[in-house]
Amino acid sequence: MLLPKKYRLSFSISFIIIAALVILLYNLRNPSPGFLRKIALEMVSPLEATINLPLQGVADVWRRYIFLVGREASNKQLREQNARLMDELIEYREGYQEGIRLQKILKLRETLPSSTIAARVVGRNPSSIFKMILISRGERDGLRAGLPVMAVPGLVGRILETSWNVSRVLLIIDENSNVDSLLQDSRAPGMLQGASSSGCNLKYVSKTIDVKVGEVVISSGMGGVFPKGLPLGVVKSVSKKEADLFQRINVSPFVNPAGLEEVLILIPAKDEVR
Amino acid sequence: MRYIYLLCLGIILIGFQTMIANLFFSGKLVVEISLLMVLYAGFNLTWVKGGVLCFIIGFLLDCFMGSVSGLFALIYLAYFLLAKFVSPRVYAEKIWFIMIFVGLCSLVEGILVIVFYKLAFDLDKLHHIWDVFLPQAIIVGLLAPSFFSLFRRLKLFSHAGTTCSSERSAIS
Repeated sequence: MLLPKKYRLSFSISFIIIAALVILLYNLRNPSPGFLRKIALEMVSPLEATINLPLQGVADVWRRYIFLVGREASNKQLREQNARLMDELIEYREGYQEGIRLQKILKLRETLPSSTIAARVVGRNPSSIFKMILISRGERDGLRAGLPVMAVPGLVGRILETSWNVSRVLLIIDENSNVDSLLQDSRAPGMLQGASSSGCNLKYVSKTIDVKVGEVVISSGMGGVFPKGLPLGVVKSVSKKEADLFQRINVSPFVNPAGLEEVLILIPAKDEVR
Repeated sequence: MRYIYLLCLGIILIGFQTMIANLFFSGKLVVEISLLMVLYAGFNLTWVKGGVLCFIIGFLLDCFMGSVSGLFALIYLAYFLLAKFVSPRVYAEKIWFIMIFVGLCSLVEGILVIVFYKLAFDLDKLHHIWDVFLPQAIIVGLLAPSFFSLFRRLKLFSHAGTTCSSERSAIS
């Protein structure tokens, strides 16, 4: 070494300080990373990843299980938001379903011979004896007792009584309901009587007539209450007993009253008010 | 060889302090364990070895933190020299002394950084003294005795270079 021993220390320290100063000043003038910094940066990232790898587990435990400050409030907020969004989603789904139903009703309306009035189902009879529903139209809308009520894809029942703004509908599955009907293929007449939870029974069909399961039952138009050709249901089962005069035919109605939400009331031409 | 270990320890501590900062303080505060190492080196390592070590750690910290290259290298070097200058004149084993000294160094370091950025880039970061550097200095000051004790137990410093006990006894 050229320097005397007593100056070596001072020289070394001064050199390091000057080196630090030079690097600092150089980097101030040239903001782009220099060669040394590039090397350091290349080293730093894998090094940092290696250091962080085992620590990440500890960090995860800390974040997930120990350091839970504010999580409760955040959870509460998210739960509220979730509930609100769920409500919105249900509302939108409901709207979508309603749209589909109304579309079907509209199609049905177009196929019906007479004019119709649409109504909402606003109540169901809670009694297990009577099978009736309340609809959102009444005398003010031109409704009266006896008018047939339809839904997709068939007859629901007929209006039993009306108020100004609501009406009670007797469903075809009610035991008091009788609809003069016709088997579509065999053209055999019969009387469709409500049988409550088991649907309907088609009565007074002669044993000589061959009735097949799946055959469609329609209204006959007799009696003047229901127009001819309204779909009522399909034959579910047929039995012929020796002792009976007629066949026992169980009919499954087309319309499930439990899922009814909108209905159409058929207005005969002479009753039309709108 | 022990000197290489010290360098590795410094690098690990820098990574560790970055992680601690992100984990506990969401990156708002940095518990500068590397500063503790620099100051401890000032009390225990020789001029050249300690100076080079602090320079390298400072430079790496610049790279980790994204500050201007050489800023922390220069500050750490200055702190090492300060600690080296102080070490023969005081009894550096007292907990209160360690806490206050480290806390003050950390606070002054923050002020130096602010001044540097003001002068070099005209960035006004003065408000950071209260919300960043002061709490940072308090935390580092409180942690300092534990880390000094840990460094002492690791015995890396005492074997890496001449300790200052001889210099201190010579002055006293």
